[in-house]
Amino acid sequence: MLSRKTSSMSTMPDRGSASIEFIVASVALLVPLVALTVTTSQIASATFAATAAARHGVRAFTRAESTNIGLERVHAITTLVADDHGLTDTSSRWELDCSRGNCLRRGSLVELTVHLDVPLRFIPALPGIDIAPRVTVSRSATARVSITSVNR
Amino acid sequence: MVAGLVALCGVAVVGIIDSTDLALARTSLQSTADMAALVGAESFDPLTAQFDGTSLAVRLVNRQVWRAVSAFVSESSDGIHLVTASTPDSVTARVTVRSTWSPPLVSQFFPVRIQLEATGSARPNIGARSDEG
Repeated sequence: MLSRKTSSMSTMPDRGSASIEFIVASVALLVPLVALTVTTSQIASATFAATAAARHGVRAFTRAESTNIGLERVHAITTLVADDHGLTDTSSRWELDCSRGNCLRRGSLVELTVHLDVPLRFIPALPGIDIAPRVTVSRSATARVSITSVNR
Repeated sequence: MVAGLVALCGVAVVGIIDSTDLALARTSLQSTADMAALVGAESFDPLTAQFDGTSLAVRLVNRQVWRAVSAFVSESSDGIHLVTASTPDSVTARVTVRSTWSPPLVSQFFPVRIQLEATGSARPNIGARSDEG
């Protein structure tokens, strides 16, 4: 009796469309994966930009003739690097940490930390909150002011 | 088949994230090596500088290069160790630094630790405004 039922079920044809099931399942599973990939690439791009901005910015600052000129150079470099990496809607800020009171004193260690706020386009904002989800990427670089500088 | 495809894509994404982090770690290490080499190139004793009629010549000493670079690396970088800091020709400071990298994702499943090394060189260039010190 049992073997007869099993035999009759195995002869029943499969119903449904394999191609439609494949497409539906692929879209449902791959769309989040693509969103994750795009978001990750945005964060990676911002991290590369922050690394480059910190590295070149601190070098330009330590070779500046004055603090104001150095700050202008840091701002210009940060903006340029962000534009080069396609981060047009990214806000940036930076911090300078000096080992001595005067940042440009000979032999002073200067640490530049660049922060880039990356908006996450594929992550929806929470209901009732107007602030879009963002991720802050921070990178630091340290340089020493040349002891042979003649402009200080 | 779909599950296999998604799993394959997930592994690819994890691999890309880890390799990107490895490239960033390598860039940061090279930056530290370059900055440390600049510090080593300025470790000369100013009293030993000699003017040869056209420029000011200084001589670097291994012990002073090591001392200056060691202080810079210890103060400025976390997780980066100084391997060598010397001057092969008394005018060039050569610095090699090392750090250990581990993948940020799935490191608990694959405890891989890779030793990274970077070498930077610099020369003192007194009075000139270039990136070579």
